[in-house]
Amino acid sequence: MIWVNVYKVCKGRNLLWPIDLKRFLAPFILPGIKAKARNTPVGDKVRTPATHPEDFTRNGSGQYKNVNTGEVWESSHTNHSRSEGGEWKVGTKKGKAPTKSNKITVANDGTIIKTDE
Amino acid sequence: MESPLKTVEKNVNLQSYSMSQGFLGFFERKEAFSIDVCEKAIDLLLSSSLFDTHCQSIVSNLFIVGNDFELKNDYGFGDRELREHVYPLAAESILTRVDTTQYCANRLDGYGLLEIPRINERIIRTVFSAVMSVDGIRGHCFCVVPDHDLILYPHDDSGFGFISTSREASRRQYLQDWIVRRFSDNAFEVTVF
Repeated sequence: MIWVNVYKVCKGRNLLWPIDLKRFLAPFILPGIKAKARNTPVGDKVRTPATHPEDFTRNGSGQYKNVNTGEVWESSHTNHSRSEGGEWKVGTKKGKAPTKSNKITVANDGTIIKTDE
Repeated sequence: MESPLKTVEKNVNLQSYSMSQGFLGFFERKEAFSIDVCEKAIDLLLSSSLFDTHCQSIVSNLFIVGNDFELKNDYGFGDRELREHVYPLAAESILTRVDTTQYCANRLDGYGLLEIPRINERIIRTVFSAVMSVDGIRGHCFCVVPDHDLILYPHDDSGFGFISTSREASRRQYLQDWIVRRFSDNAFEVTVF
């Protein structure tokens, strides 16, 4: 959290306004190539097979593997968060597919929606 | 009368069920995943008036990739999962077993979607339970209930989603109200759209 002086907006008064810098800059920051879904907090972003197809390889059963993090991704038929473009399920362990009890739900744009562990 | 397979093809967006035109909502567990909570969701559904007339159908193309050893290794399968779900469903041709070299991603687009013949409560229960609780089972599974203008599907978060086949707004509103009343429970949370 930082405090910004919005003096110029409110002429004549020094007014300090708190800004959550991380949240403020989030739309402008691209997720790192090695950012793992399992270490990323809810609301933050990671790279997905839709946003960065070059990071993923696909196997015959429709699963995707992130070549940089080793995480296994599956497209989800359900989209209960109603995210644009759908949802993905990601395994919580390197090289392991998502399971019913261990999975991370990620929106198509990479936003982490929830974690079940 | 329209076949259940046609009803699914006409009303369900297979890429994202919740983007189907008649999507009503869903219910899901509030607590952590367990086999018990899956059974409870199925009990709640089967005890509702949807299943009074026994005229429902199941349309699916479920599949599982890997042999017994791979399933144990990849998903931590025990003998129970194999004995209670994989073997019986495969024996009834409800679950297709494919080896890791076969390409089956096209099933996710609806390839191989079929109506399961001669269903009864035991089969419905086994299929729903497998989809909700057995890791590695993939593909689509819908239950068509024509008397109530509904298609429902079991999902990963121990609950069911609902899609209306009716185009009438009043009928959809009635179904949504009914879903909220029927499935709101201490263990489950209902979301309607």
